[in-house]
Amino acid sequence: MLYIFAGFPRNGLHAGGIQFAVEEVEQLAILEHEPRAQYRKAGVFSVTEYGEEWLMPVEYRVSRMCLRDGITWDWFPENWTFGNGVTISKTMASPEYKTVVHGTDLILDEFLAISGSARLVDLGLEQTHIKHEGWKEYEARWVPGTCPQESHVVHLTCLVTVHPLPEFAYQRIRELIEESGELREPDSYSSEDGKHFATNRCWDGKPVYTRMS
Amino acid sequence: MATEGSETIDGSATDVISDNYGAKHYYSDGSNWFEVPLLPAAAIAHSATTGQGSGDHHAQAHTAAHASGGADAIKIDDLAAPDDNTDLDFSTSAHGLVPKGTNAGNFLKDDGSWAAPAGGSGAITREGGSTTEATTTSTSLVDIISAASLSIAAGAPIEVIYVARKTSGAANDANSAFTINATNVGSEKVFSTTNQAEAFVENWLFGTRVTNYTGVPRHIRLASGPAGSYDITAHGMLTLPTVTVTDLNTRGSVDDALITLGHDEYHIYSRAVS
Repeated sequence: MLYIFAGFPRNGLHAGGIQFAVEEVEQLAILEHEPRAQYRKAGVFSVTEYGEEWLMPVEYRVSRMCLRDGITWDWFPENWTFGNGVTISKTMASPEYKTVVHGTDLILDEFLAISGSARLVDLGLEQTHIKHEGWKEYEARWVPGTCPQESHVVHLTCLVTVHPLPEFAYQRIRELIEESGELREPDSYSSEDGKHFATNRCWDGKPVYTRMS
Repeated sequence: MATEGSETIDGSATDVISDNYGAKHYYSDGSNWFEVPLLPAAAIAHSATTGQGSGDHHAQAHTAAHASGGADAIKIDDLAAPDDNTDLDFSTSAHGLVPKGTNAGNFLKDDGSWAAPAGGSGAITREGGSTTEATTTSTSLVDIISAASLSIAAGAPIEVIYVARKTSGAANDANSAFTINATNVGSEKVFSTTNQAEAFVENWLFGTRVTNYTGVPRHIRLASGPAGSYDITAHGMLTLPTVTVTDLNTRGSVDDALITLGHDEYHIYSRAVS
Protein backbone atom coordinates (compact mmCIF):
# COMPACT_ATOMS: atom_id res chain seq x y z
CA MET A 1 0.00 0.00 0.00
CA LEU A 2 1.21 3.51 -0.81
CA TYR A 3 1.34 6.20 1.87
CA ILE A 4 1.98 9.83 0.98
CA PHE A 5 3.02 12.38 3.59
CA ALA A 6 3.60 16.12 3.36
CA GLY A 7 7.13 17.47 3.41
CA PHE A 8 10.33 15.73 4.45
CA PRO A 9 11.26 14.56 7.95
CA ARG A 10 12.34 17.68 9.86
CA ASN A 11 14.32 15.49 12.25
CA GLY A 12 16.84 15.20 9.41
CA LEU A 13 16.23 11.61 8.33
CA HIS A 14 16.40 10.97 4.59
CA ALA A 15 14.68 8.09 2.78
CA GLY A 16 17.22 5.56 4.04
CA GLY A 17 16.92 6.95 7.56
CA ILE A 18 13.12 6.69 7.54
CA GLN A 19 13.39 3.15 6.22
CA PHE A 20 15.82 2.29 9.03
CA ALA A 21 13.48 3.85 11.62
CA VAL A 22 10.41 2.08 10.30
CA GLU A 23 11.90 -1.36 9.67
CA GLU A 24 14.76 -1.69 12.13
CA VAL A 25 14.49 0.66 15.09
CA GLU A 26 10.75 0.89 15.67
CA GLN A 27 9.63 -2.08 13.55
CA LEU A 28 6.45 -0.35 12.43
CA ALA A 29 6.07 -1.81 8.94
CA ILE A 30 7.49 -4.09 6.30
CA LEU A 31 8.34 -2.02 3.25
CA GLU A 32 8.07 -3.30 -0.30
CA HIS A 33 11.57 -3.90 -1.76
CA GLU A 34 10.80 -6.32 -4.58
CA PRO A 35 12.70 -4.87 -7.59
CA ARG A 36 9.92 -5.94 -9.95
CA ALA A 37 7.26 -4.08 -7.95
CA GLN A 38 6.77 -0.59 -9.26
CA TYR A 39 3.96 1.61 -7.95
CA ARG A 40 2.78 4.18 -10.47
CA LYS A 41 -0.12 6.58 -10.67
CA ALA A 42 -1.63 4.21 -13.22
CA GLY A 43 -1.39 1.15 -10.98
CA VAL A 44 0.97 -1.44 -9.54
CA PHE A 45 3.18 -2.91 -12.25
CA SER A 46 5.50 -5.87 -12.44
CA VAL A 47 8.56 -4.69 -14.37
CA THR A 48 11.13 -7.12 -15.73
CA GLU A 49 13.73 -7.08 -18.47
CA TYR A 50 11.16 -8.73 -20.72
CA GLY A 51 8.51 -6.09 -20.27
CA GLU A 52 5.97 -4.88 -17.78
CA GLU A 53 2.55 -6.01 -16.62
CA TRP A 54 -0.23 -4.13 -14.86
CA LEU A 55 -1.13 -6.00 -11.69
CA MET A 56 -3.73 -4.00 -9.80
CA PRO A 57 -4.87 -0.49 -9.01
CA VAL A 58 -2.91 1.40 -6.35
CA GLU A 59 -4.24 1.42 -2.81
CA TYR A 60 -3.11 4.70 -1.34
CA ARG A 61 -3.60 7.05 1.61
CA VAL A 62 -2.79 10.75 1.32
CA SER A 63 -2.17 12.50 4.65
CA ARG A 64 -4.44 15.24 5.96
CA MET A 65 -1.59 17.74 5.76
CA CYS A 66 -1.23 17.06 2.03
CA LEU A 67 -4.95 17.60 1.57
CA ARG A 68 -4.73 20.82 3.58
CA ASP A 69 -2.03 22.05 1.19
CA GLY A 70 -4.17 21.21 -1.85
CA ILE A 71 -2.36 18.01 -2.81
CA THR A 72 -4.70 15.12 -3.60
CA TRP A 73 -4.24 11.97 -5.69
CA ASP A 74 -5.03 14.10 -8.75
CA TRP A 75 -1.93 16.21 -8.05
CA PHE A 76 0.28 13.46 -9.49
CA PRO A 77 0.65 13.36 -13.30
CA GLU A 78 -0.46 10.20 -15.10
CA ASN A 79 3.13 9.06 -15.69
CA TRP A 80 4.26 9.62 -12.07
CA THR A 81 6.23 6.74 -10.56
CA PHE A 82 6.37 6.02 -6.83
CA GLY A 83 8.63 2.96 -7.16
CA ASN A 84 8.77 1.09 -3.86
CA GLY A 85 10.51 1.44 -0.49
CA VAL A 86 10.79 5.03 0.70
CA THR A 87 11.14 8.09 -1.53
CA ILE A 88 11.38 11.75 -0.60
CA SER A 89 10.65 13.60 -3.83
CA LYS A 90 11.00 17.25 -4.74
CA THR A 91 8.86 19.06 -7.27
CA MET A 92 10.02 22.55 -8.19
CA ALA A 93 7.90 25.14 -9.95
CA SER A 94 8.31 28.82 -10.76
CA PRO A 95 6.02 31.28 -12.49
CA GLU A 96 7.59 33.18 -15.38
CA TYR A 97 6.98 36.88 -15.84
CA LYS A 98 7.28 39.36 -18.68
CA THR A 99 7.31 43.14 -18.68
CA VAL A 100 4.39 44.56 -20.68
CA VAL A 101 3.05 48.00 -21.47
CA HIS A 102 0.40 48.86 -18.89
CA GLY A 103 -3.09 48.09 -20.12
CA THR A 104 -1.88 45.76 -22.88
CA ASP A 105 -0.40 42.28 -23.18
CA LEU A 106 2.44 43.59 -25.35
CA ILE A 107 6.10 43.85 -24.49
CA LEU A 108 7.64 47.22 -25.33
CA ASP A 109 9.04 46.12 -28.71
CA GLU A 110 5.68 44.71 -29.79
CA PHE A 111 3.90 47.84 -28.62
CA LEU A 112 6.29 50.07 -30.60
CA ALA A 113 5.91 47.89 -33.68
CA ILE A 114 2.16 48.50 -33.56
CA SER A 115 2.03 52.10 -32.39
CA GLY A 116 4.95 53.34 -34.47
CA SER A 117 6.38 55.67 -31.89
CA ALA A 118 5.52 56.61 -28.35
CA ARG A 119 6.89 58.94 -25.72
CA LEU A 120 8.37 56.74 -22.99
CA VAL A 121 7.23 59.23 -20.37
CA ASP A 122 3.63 58.45 -21.36
CA LEU A 123 4.04 54.68 -21.00
CA GLY A 124 3.74 52.57 -17.90
CA LEU A 125 5.37 49.16 -17.65
CA GLU A 126 4.29 46.31 -15.44
CA GLN A 127 5.20 42.70 -14.83
CA THR A 128 2.64 40.07 -15.71
CA HIS A 129 2.62 36.35 -15.00
CA ILE A 130 2.87 34.35 -18.22
CA LYS A 131 0.28 31.61 -17.85
CA HIS A 132 1.85 29.41 -20.47
CA GLU A 133 1.04 25.78 -21.24
CA GLY A 134 3.40 24.36 -18.62
CA TRP A 135 2.09 26.57 -15.84
CA LYS A 136 -1.54 25.84 -16.69
CA GLU A 137 -0.84 22.11 -16.65
CA TYR A 138 0.89 22.39 -13.31
CA GLU A 139 -1.71 24.64 -11.71
CA ALA A 140 -4.47 22.24 -12.77
CA ARG A 141 -2.90 19.52 -10.62
CA TRP A 142 -3.78 21.42 -7.44
CA VAL A 143 -7.09 21.78 -5.68
CA PRO A 144 -8.44 25.01 -7.24
CA GLY A 145 -7.06 28.09 -5.55
CA THR A 146 -4.26 26.34 -3.66
CA CYS A 147 -1.36 26.43 -6.16
CA PRO A 148 1.28 28.86 -4.84
CA GLN A 149 1.77 31.70 -7.34
CA GLU A 150 5.49 32.04 -6.61
CA SER A 151 8.67 29.99 -6.80
CA HIS A 152 8.24 27.00 -4.54
CA VAL A 153 9.28 23.42 -3.85
CA VAL A 154 6.90 20.60 -2.94
CA HIS A 155 8.45 17.89 -0.82
CA LEU A 156 6.54 14.64 -0.45
CA THR A 157 7.56 11.51 1.44
CA CYS A 158 6.14 8.27 0.03
CA LEU A 159 6.28 4.81 1.57
CA VAL A 160 5.25 1.60 -0.13
CA THR A 161 4.43 -1.15 2.37
CA VAL A 162 3.70 -4.82 1.82
CA HIS A 163 0.57 -4.67 4.00
CA PRO A 164 -1.74 -1.85 5.07
CA LEU A 165 -0.53 -0.21 8.28
CA PRO A 166 -2.42 -0.41 11.58
CA GLU A 167 -3.49 3.06 12.71
CA PHE A 168 -0.91 3.34 15.52
CA ALA A 169 1.92 2.59 13.09
CA TYR A 170 0.54 5.06 10.54
CA GLN A 171 0.29 7.80 13.16
CA ARG A 172 3.81 7.15 14.42
CA ILE A 173 5.25 7.30 10.90
CA ARG A 174 3.23 10.46 10.22
CA GLU A 175 4.62 11.94 13.42
CA LEU A 176 8.18 11.06 12.36
CA ILE A 177 7.75 12.77 8.99
CA GLU A 178 5.24 15.59 9.41
CA GLU A 179 5.76 16.59 13.02
CA SER A 180 9.54 16.08 13.36
CA GLY A 181 8.86 13.39 15.95
CA GLU A 182 11.71 12.62 18.27
CA LEU A 183 13.70 9.56 17.34
CA ARG A 184 13.59 6.57 19.61
CA GLU A 185 16.96 5.00 20.31
CA PRO A 186 18.86 7.79 18.55
CA ASP A 187 22.14 5.97 19.15
CA SER A 188 20.99 3.25 16.76
CA TYR A 189 21.43 5.55 13.77
CA SER A 190 24.73 5.59 11.93
CA SER A 191 27.20 8.32 12.69
CA GLU A 192 28.57 7.99 9.14
CA ASP A 193 28.02 11.30 7.38
CA GLY A 194 24.90 11.18 5.19
CA LYS A 195 24.10 7.53 5.94
CA HIS A 196 20.76 8.12 7.67
CA PHE A 197 20.49 11.89 7.81
CA ALA A 198 20.35 14.63 5.18
CA THR A 199 21.39 18.23 5.64
CA ASN A 200 18.55 20.71 5.79
CA ARG A 201 19.26 24.18 4.50
CA CYS A 202 17.59 27.44 3.63
CA TRP A 203 16.34 27.85 0.03
CA ASP A 204 17.01 31.21 -1.61
CA GLY A 205 13.94 30.92 -3.82
CA LYS A 206 15.85 30.94 -7.10
CA PRO A 207 14.00 29.00 -9.82
CA VAL A 208 15.50 25.72 -11.01
CA TYR A 209 14.94 26.73 -14.64
CA THR A 210 16.83 29.46 -16.51
CA ARG A 211 15.82 30.62 -19.99
CA MET A 212 19.13 31.73 -21.54
CA SER A 213 19.20 34.43 -24.18
CA MET B 1 16.40 81.19 76.59
CA ALA B 2 15.44 82.54 80.06
CA THR B 3 13.67 85.66 81.22
CA GLU B 4 15.20 88.21 83.66
CA GLY B 5 12.48 88.04 86.27
CA SER B 6 9.26 86.22 86.85
CA GLU B 7 8.05 86.49 83.28
CA THR B 8 7.33 83.31 81.40
CA ILE B 9 7.84 82.28 77.75
CA ASP B 10 4.73 80.59 76.50
CA GLY B 11 3.97 79.74 80.15
CA SER B 12 7.43 78.31 80.93
CA ALA B 13 10.37 79.85 82.70
CA THR B 14 12.64 79.01 79.77
CA ASP B 15 12.51 78.09 76.09
CA VAL B 16 14.97 76.09 74.05
CA ILE B 17 16.34 76.57 70.54
CA SER B 18 17.43 73.05 69.79
CA ASP B 19 18.81 73.45 66.24
CA ASN B 20 22.14 75.01 65.33
CA TYR B 21 21.55 78.41 63.78
CA GLY B 22 17.90 78.13 64.81
CA ALA B 23 15.91 81.29 65.43
CA LYS B 24 12.68 82.14 67.12
CA HIS B 25 10.63 85.31 67.27
CA TYR B 26 9.01 86.47 70.55
CA TYR B 27 6.69 89.24 71.51
CA SER B 28 5.70 90.61 74.94
CA ASP B 29 2.29 91.68 76.29
CA GLY B 30 4.10 93.68 79.03
CA SER B 31 4.03 90.85 81.53
CA ASN B 32 5.10 87.65 79.69
CA TRP B 33 6.71 86.53 76.44
CA PHE B 34 5.10 84.56 73.67
CA GLU B 35 6.60 82.79 70.65
CA VAL B 36 5.49 84.08 67.27
CA PRO B 37 4.29 80.99 65.40
CA LEU B 38 5.79 80.46 61.95
CA LEU B 39 3.17 78.87 59.67
CA PRO B 40 4.27 76.24 57.09
CA ALA B 41 4.24 77.30 53.45
CA ALA B 42 1.08 76.39 51.54
CA ALA B 43 1.32 73.25 49.32
CA ILE B 44 2.13 73.95 45.67
CA ALA B 45 0.53 71.75 43.02
CA HIS B 46 2.93 69.65 40.87
CA SER B 47 1.51 71.32 37.79
CA ALA B 48 1.96 74.88 39.12
CA THR B 49 4.74 76.72 37.34
CA THR B 50 4.39 80.25 38.75
CA GLY B 51 7.61 81.19 40.43
CA GLN B 52 9.20 77.81 39.60
CA GLY B 53 12.56 77.75 37.83
CA SER B 54 13.52 75.13 35.27
CA GLY B 55 15.83 73.50 37.81
CA ASP B 56 13.36 73.52 40.69
CA HIS B 57 12.56 70.15 42.14
CA HIS B 58 9.17 68.58 41.72
CA ALA B 59 9.01 65.88 44.30
CA GLN B 60 6.53 63.62 42.50
CA ALA B 61 7.02 60.30 40.59
CA HIS B 62 6.43 60.66 36.86
CA THR B 63 5.40 57.06 36.23
CA ALA B 64 1.67 57.60 36.51
CA ALA B 65 1.69 60.62 34.21
CA HIS B 66 3.65 58.83 31.45
CA ALA B 67 1.93 55.45 31.72
CA SER B 68 -0.93 54.43 29.45
CA GLY B 69 -3.96 56.60 30.30
CA GLY B 70 -1.81 59.13 32.20
CA ALA B 71 -1.91 62.89 31.66
CA ASP B 72 1.36 62.82 29.71
CA ALA B 73 1.38 59.27 28.27
CA ILE B 74 4.37 58.38 26.07
CA LYS B 75 3.66 56.17 23.03
CA ILE B 76 6.09 53.25 22.71
CA ASP B 77 6.75 54.00 19.03
CA ASP B 78 7.81 57.55 19.93
CA LEU B 79 10.67 56.39 22.14
CA ALA B 80 14.19 56.64 20.79
CA ALA B 81 15.73 53.62 18.99
CA PRO B 82 17.52 51.27 21.38
CA ASP B 83 21.20 50.35 21.31
CA ASP B 84 22.23 47.24 19.34
CA ASN B 85 22.44 44.94 22.32
CA THR B 86 20.45 42.22 24.05
CA ASP B 87 19.84 44.09 27.32
CA LEU B 88 16.06 43.85 27.31
CA ASP B 89 15.53 40.77 25.13
CA PHE B 90 12.95 38.34 26.40
CA SER B 91 14.01 35.05 27.91
CA THR B 92 12.38 31.97 29.36
CA SER B 93 12.19 33.78 32.70
CA ALA B 94 11.04 37.27 31.68
CA HIS B 95 9.24 39.01 28.86
CA GLY B 96 11.05 41.65 26.86
CA LEU B 97 12.14 42.76 23.40
CA VAL B 98 12.35 40.45 20.39
CA PRO B 99 15.97 39.49 19.62
CA LYS B 100 17.60 40.87 16.49
CA GLY B 101 16.58 38.89 13.37
CA THR B 102 18.85 36.69 11.24
CA ASN B 103 17.37 37.56 7.82
CA ALA B 104 17.49 33.88 6.90
CA GLY B 105 13.79 33.05 6.98
CA ASN B 106 14.03 31.54 10.44
CA PHE B 107 11.36 31.44 13.11
CA LEU B 108 11.65 32.67 16.68
CA LYS B 109 11.67 29.92 19.28
CA ASP B 110 10.29 30.40 22.78
CA ASP B 111 13.79 30.31 24.26
CA GLY B 112 14.68 33.46 22.35
CA SER B 113 16.75 31.83 19.61
CA TRP B 114 16.07 31.81 15.87
CA ALA B 115 15.82 28.48 14.07
CA ALA B 116 14.69 26.88 10.83
CA PRO B 117 11.04 25.83 10.84
CA ALA B 118 10.75 22.57 12.74
CA GLY B 119 8.01 20.64 11.08
CA GLY B 120 4.28 20.93 10.74
CA SER B 121 4.71 23.32 7.85
CA GLY B 122 3.25 21.06 5.21
CA ALA B 123 4.65 20.04 1.86
CA ILE B 124 5.35 23.45 0.36
CA THR B 125 8.64 25.29 0.77
CA ARG B 126 8.83 28.93 -0.26
CA GLU B 127 11.75 31.33 -0.49
CA GLY B 128 13.69 31.32 2.75
CA GLY B 129 12.15 28.01 3.82
CA SER B 130 13.91 24.85 4.80
CA THR B 131 14.69 22.36 2.05
CA THR B 132 16.66 19.16 1.64
CA GLU B 133 17.87 16.67 -0.94
CA ALA B 134 15.52 14.19 -2.63
CA THR B 135 16.30 10.58 -1.73
CA THR B 136 15.03 7.07 -2.34
CA THR B 137 15.54 3.45 -1.36
CA SER B 138 13.33 2.23 -4.19
CA THR B 139 14.61 -0.81 -6.10
CA SER B 140 12.47 0.10 -9.13
CA LEU B 141 12.67 3.40 -10.98
CA VAL B 142 11.03 6.30 -9.17
CA ASP B 143 10.58 10.02 -9.83
CA ILE B 144 13.05 11.85 -7.57
CA ILE B 145 13.21 15.53 -8.60
CA SER B 146 10.64 17.06 -10.89
CA ALA B 147 10.81 20.45 -12.58
CA ALA B 148 7.21 21.26 -13.42
CA SER B 149 5.48 24.32 -14.90
CA LEU B 150 8.05 24.60 -17.70
CA SER B 151 7.41 25.81 -21.21
CA ILE B 152 10.41 25.06 -23.41
CA ALA B 153 9.81 25.15 -27.14
CA ALA B 154 10.73 22.03 -29.14
CA GLY B 155 13.35 24.02 -31.00
CA ALA B 156 15.31 25.03 -27.91
CA PRO B 157 18.31 22.93 -26.80
CA ILE B 158 18.20 21.96 -23.11
CA GLU B 159 21.01 21.34 -20.66
CA VAL B 160 20.42 19.72 -17.28
CA ILE B 161 22.87 19.50 -14.38
CA TYR B 162 22.36 17.86 -10.99
CA VAL B 163 24.35 16.01 -8.38
CA ALA B 164 23.76 12.43 -7.30
CA ARG B 165 25.07 10.36 -4.43
CA LYS B 166 24.67 6.91 -2.96
CA THR B 167 25.29 5.92 0.63
CA SER B 168 27.13 2.88 1.84
CA GLY B 169 25.04 -0.09 2.96
CA ALA B 170 25.62 -2.83 0.42
CA ALA B 171 28.12 -3.77 -2.28
CA ASN B 172 25.85 -2.71 -5.06
CA ASP B 173 25.10 0.04 -7.57
CA ALA B 174 22.35 2.57 -8.26
CA ASN B 175 20.70 3.67 -11.48
CA SER B 176 20.09 7.04 -13.02
CA ALA B 177 17.36 7.91 -15.49
CA PHE B 178 15.64 10.96 -16.89
CA THR B 179 12.30 11.82 -18.41
CA ILE B 180 11.15 14.57 -20.77
CA ASN B 181 7.43 15.00 -20.30
CA ALA B 182 6.46 11.31 -20.06
CA THR B 183 9.29 9.96 -22.22
CA ASN B 184 12.06 8.03 -20.49
CA VAL B 185 15.30 9.01 -22.19
CA GLY B 186 17.63 6.47 -20.65
CA SER B 187 18.64 4.50 -17.59
CA GLU B 188 22.10 3.37 -16.64
CA LYS B 189 24.33 2.26 -13.79
CA VAL B 190 26.15 5.27 -12.46
CA PHE B 191 28.17 4.19 -9.41
CA SER B 192 30.61 1.45 -8.56
CA THR B 193 29.49 -1.72 -6.76
CA THR B 194 31.81 -1.04 -3.86
CA ASN B 195 30.11 -0.67 -0.48
CA GLN B 196 30.99 2.97 0.03
CA ALA B 197 29.54 6.46 -0.25
CA GLU B 198 30.00 7.99 -3.72
CA ALA B 199 28.90 11.20 -5.43
CA PHE B 200 28.62 12.33 -9.04
CA VAL B 201 27.72 15.27 -11.19
CA GLU B 202 25.22 14.36 -13.88
CA ASN B 203 24.85 16.39 -17.04
CA TRP B 204 22.27 15.81 -19.78
CA LEU B 205 22.20 17.65 -23.07
CA PHE B 206 19.26 17.57 -25.47
CA GLY B 207 19.44 19.12 -28.90
CA THR B 208 16.64 20.65 -30.90
CA ARG B 209 13.72 18.20 -31.06
CA VAL B 210 12.05 18.47 -34.42
CA THR B 211 10.63 15.87 -36.78
CA ASN B 212 13.24 13.30 -37.88
CA TYR B 213 15.81 14.82 -35.46
CA THR B 214 14.53 13.63 -32.11
CA GLY B 215 17.12 11.22 -30.71
CA VAL B 216 20.43 10.82 -28.95
CA PRO B 217 20.63 12.88 -25.80
CA ARG B 218 24.12 13.06 -24.36
CA HIS B 219 24.68 12.02 -20.77
CA ILE B 220 27.94 12.91 -19.04
CA ARG B 221 28.72 11.54 -15.59
CA LEU B 222 31.58 13.04 -13.60
CA ALA B 223 32.81 11.50 -10.39
CA SER B 224 33.36 13.81 -7.46
CA GLY B 225 33.90 11.07 -4.90
CA PRO B 226 36.27 8.17 -4.27
CA ALA B 227 35.08 6.35 -7.39
CA GLY B 228 36.97 8.93 -9.46
CA SER B 229 35.69 8.24 -12.94
CA TYR B 230 33.65 9.66 -15.78
CA ASP B 231 31.80 8.48 -18.83
CA ILE B 232 29.88 9.92 -21.72
CA THR B 233 26.88 8.06 -23.02
CA ALA B 234 24.79 8.72 -26.09
CA HIS B 235 21.32 7.26 -25.66
CA GLY B 236 20.24 6.20 -29.12
CA MET B 237 17.06 4.63 -30.45
CA LEU B 238 14.92 7.26 -28.80
CA THR B 239 12.07 9.35 -30.02
CA LEU B 240 12.00 12.50 -27.98
CA PRO B 241 8.80 14.55 -27.91
CA THR B 242 8.57 17.30 -30.51
CA VAL B 243 6.08 19.26 -28.44
CA THR B 244 6.67 21.92 -25.79
CA VAL B 245 8.53 20.49 -22.80
CA THR B 246 6.58 21.01 -19.57
CA ASP B 247 8.21 18.50 -17.20
CA LEU B 248 11.80 17.35 -16.74
CA ASN B 249 12.25 14.69 -14.08
CA THR B 250 15.23 12.93 -12.62
CA ARG B 251 14.58 9.29 -11.85
CA GLY B 252 16.59 6.60 -10.17
CA SER B 253 16.65 3.37 -8.24
CA VAL B 254 19.04 1.37 -6.12
CA ASP B 255 20.13 -2.23 -6.67
CA ASP B 256 19.85 -2.94 -2.96
CA ALA B 257 17.38 -1.33 -0.57
CA LEU B 258 20.14 -0.89 2.00
CA ILE B 259 21.58 1.85 -0.23
CA THR B 260 20.08 5.32 -0.39
CA LEU B 261 20.23 7.30 -3.63
CA GLY B 262 20.10 11.09 -3.43
CA HIS B 263 19.66 13.85 -6.04
CA ASP B 264 20.00 17.58 -5.47
CA GLU B 265 21.12 20.93 -6.90
CA TYR B 266 18.96 20.52 -9.98
CA HIS B 267 19.47 23.16 -12.70
CA ILE B 268 17.93 23.41 -16.15
CA TYR B 269 18.98 25.78 -18.93
CA SER B 270 17.34 26.23 -22.29
CA ARG B 271 19.26 27.97 -25.05
CA ALA B 272 17.82 30.64 -27.27
CA VAL B 273 17.61 29.70 -30.94
CA SER B 274 17.19 33.15 -32.41
